[in-house]
Amino acid sequence: MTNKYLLFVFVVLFLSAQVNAATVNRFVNTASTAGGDGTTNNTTGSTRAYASLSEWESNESTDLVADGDVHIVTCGGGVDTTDTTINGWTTGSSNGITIQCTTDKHDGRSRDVSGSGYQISSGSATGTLKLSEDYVTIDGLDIKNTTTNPAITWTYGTFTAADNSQILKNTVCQNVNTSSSSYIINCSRLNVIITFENVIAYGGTRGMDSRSASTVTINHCTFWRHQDQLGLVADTEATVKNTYIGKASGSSQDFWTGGAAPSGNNNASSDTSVSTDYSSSQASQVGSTQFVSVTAGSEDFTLKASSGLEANGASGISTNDIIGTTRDVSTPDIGAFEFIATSTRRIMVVSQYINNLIETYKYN
Amino acid sequence: MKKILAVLTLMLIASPVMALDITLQIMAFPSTHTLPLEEEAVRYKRGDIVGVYLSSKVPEPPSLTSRSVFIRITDVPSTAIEKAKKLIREDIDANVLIRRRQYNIDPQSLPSGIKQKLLTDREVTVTWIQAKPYLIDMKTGLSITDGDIT
Repeated sequence: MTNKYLLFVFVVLFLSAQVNAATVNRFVNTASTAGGDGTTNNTTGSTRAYASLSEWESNESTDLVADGDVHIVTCGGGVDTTDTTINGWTTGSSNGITIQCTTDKHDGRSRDVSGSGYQISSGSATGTLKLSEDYVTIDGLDIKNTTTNPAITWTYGTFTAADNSQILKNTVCQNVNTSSSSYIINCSRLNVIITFENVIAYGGTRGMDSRSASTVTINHCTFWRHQDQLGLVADTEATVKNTYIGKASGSSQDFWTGGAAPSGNNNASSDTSVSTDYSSSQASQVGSTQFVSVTAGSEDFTLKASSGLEANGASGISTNDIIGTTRDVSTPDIGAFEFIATSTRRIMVVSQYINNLIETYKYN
Repeated sequence: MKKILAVLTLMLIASPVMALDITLQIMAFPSTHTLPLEEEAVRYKRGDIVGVYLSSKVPEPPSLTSRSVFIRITDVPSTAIEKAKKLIREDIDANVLIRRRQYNIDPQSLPSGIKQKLLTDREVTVTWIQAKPYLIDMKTGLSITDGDIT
């Protein structure tokens, strides 16, 4: 009798634990108005989507570990003009935050170029998206700073040593004006463990700084500077693979080689700096030869058919590119895009859009 | 005389009095879970201004489950919404976030009629002159001035 009772208690406890572990889905839609509870992607009614990512963050910050939840916010609509700080949550390795775009994801180009998709854009002097929590994934966003400051930064956060994981993937980042003291992406912060995959970053400042971080993995990224500024500023914390870094003109190094050497291979640069620290790499790959457009205001980093980045990446790093195209298993391309013919790419984007639409409506 | 009148008319047309009708989203019921000290310092506090919107963009009543209340303010002297958004400035010093928001409205300091309306409706409309004394710069402890957002 006692054993049966204990078994019953265990079953109840087990089921309770299962029920408590949940995915919380919330929505941001710039076509909505402030004051909703964000539980649907509707743009009217009390359950309407949040009007901005900032509104979502202020309303939803909670203790995900105690709640046993993971939290996913899906962003849509047009331009979200409020800079946002992710702070004040309690997260854990099984209880993280994902900020994503699905149906309103960019097509590999910024909204400034394509005219569609969700974009978070501000002129904030501290950066547009500021991350200060231990387990946060950004997937599919278009992030812009309209001045010289970072599109995305981790430099205001406090991160737990060996117990945090930041992921930035399938995302387009940009800033605008020229500066030698600022970066498009800045993750140079104590204890940060971060992975970049399929990220495009371009602008007028330096590309990215990761020097004070703990572990930085950079795979299949494309960084471009319109001005003569340094590209990737990294030391031994960084491992870089299948990544292209270039600039329009000038002598500032694409891969800065002034510090302790990072690890990695199969990268490419517009100058010769890639050859200093990385094996099996492609030097002197001029941007205008590789990409459809590196012109400021019409950036399109899809590969030209003649690109030297094609089939020169290391295998086994990533299965898909920034818009979901399946990568070549044995000889993937360097950078955020896998080369395919333009007509096929359009079909891929439409197909991905339909899949995302189905996923989104599951929660409505 | 006619010429002077024409010039004065032109000046009047060229320099209209600019004023905005904005709505502030105010944190009213902040989260209460335990945070490490350094995070506790920068979490949203009651009265922090979460967002600034043109009132025309906030046409619906707020959800009663929202953590926020909304204060519509007419005749704000900002020349553009971007200027008014200075109200959501964070307080950051040497790469350290000191406060989530520099400006705050302490709900306890509001007139009882306004407080009661916010409790029942979650929204209220006031003028800029009425609002100014309650909009406090947390760095200086002083009320906001027109110059802070123009």
